[in-house]
Amino acid sequence: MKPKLTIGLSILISLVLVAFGLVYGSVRGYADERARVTDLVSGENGMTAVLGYRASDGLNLCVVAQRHLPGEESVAALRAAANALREDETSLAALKAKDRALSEAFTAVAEALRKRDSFTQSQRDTQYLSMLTADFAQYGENAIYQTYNKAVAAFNQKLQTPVLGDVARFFGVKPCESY
Amino acid sequence: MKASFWKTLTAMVLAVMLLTGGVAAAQARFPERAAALTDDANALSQQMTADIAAYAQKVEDVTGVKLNVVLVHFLDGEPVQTYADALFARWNLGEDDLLLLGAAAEDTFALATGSALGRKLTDGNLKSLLYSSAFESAFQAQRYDAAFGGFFVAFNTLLEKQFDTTVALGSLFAAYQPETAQAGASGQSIADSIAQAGEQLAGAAQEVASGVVQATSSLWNSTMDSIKGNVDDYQAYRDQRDENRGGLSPMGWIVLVIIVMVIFGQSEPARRARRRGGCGCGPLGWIFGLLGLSALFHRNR
Repeated sequence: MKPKLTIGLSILISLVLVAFGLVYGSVRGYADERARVTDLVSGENGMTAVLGYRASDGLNLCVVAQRHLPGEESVAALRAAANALREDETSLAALKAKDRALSEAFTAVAEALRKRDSFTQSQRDTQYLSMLTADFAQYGENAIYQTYNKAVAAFNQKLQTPVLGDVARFFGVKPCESY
Repeated sequence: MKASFWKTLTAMVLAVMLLTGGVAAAQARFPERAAALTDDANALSQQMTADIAAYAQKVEDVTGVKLNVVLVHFLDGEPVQTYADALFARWNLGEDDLLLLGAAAEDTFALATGSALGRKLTDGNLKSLLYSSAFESAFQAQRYDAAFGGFFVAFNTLLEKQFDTTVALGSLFAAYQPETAQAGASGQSIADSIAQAGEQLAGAAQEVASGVVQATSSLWNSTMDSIKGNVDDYQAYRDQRDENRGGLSPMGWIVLVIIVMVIFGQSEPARRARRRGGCGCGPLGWIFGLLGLSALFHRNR
């Protein structure tokens, strides 16, 4: 026995289905897009990893600096800044501040090293400093930051779209934090 | 037995840390495995590279022990033993594997062994070998060929003793073999041995003269490439998404229309229309009947 539907009920069911499809599709689409954006931060080789490698370069520089600047405060400060950047951090603004502190500490140690005779006479350590400085700078100027910020701007703007964006926000899709 | 348990536990913890992205482990860069020798620091001469590869093959053939020699520049802030153990786990090395890691820029080194090999050679024996073979002093003086040459000659003696077998070194590590053993074991002419030893010593002298390893790292370059790949992947996703910006795809529209028509097809007027519309055996009639469109035509009759 098949159900018999009136035209009105058919229209209603169709509208409900279409509305559900729109809401579900919209929320899922926004959530997927947000996941792609946040993957640029926390995914494999994402921004967190890039910052982690900068911290690694800082710690590697400490090894070189220890040979020429033993017990110097600048080296201890660099080590502390690098370790701080490696700690779990939920806010990107805090990560950025820590990275800035690392950058300053890195530059200070590099400058202190260049003033040391023992360092300038060591071809090996001079090469290591060049290698570390280049790597550190490459991670600092990496395209991933710009790509991420653009992605965040586009996503947040899309989330302001009337109706669909409102629906997505109503169902818990949050805007992303830029770096 | 106890030591083996703790070693297994450590390896498991390290593996879990690697899988779950432990804070420290996730931020160290590890090289990809390249046969028996992975020299990311470009510290070893071609002769030593060839000797280590040939020796590793020979040792595996005779004893089943798998040698893995790794040279990196830096340890990215990790303690050397932690890095070695993490690398051992990351490369899925087994019970008969031995990993000898050296960090050229940090003048540090470490050994990691599989549980079966650790029982046979013992960690104590292997670690004391690093010092008795003058590996430590040569490594810290950046004489890498001498460090590894001397180590493997001494290691071979330990291996032969513990496995009760003979692994003929022949001309491998010629410059670092005791003269008598070298001539006897290799069976080659003393003149050849001296010539080869001379070449290796010349290489070592050149190494000392330069005093530095080549300051490039394919590991660092490949890490940078992976990050670029990640960015490119995202760009490709964005481009793809922008192309599909027209809302529903054609297939989506077709599915939507079919769903709506099937619902309307279940309505009473559509059923009535189907009943009045004959057998519905023509292909179009059947489709229209199914979708309830015939209701529209019959309504106009």
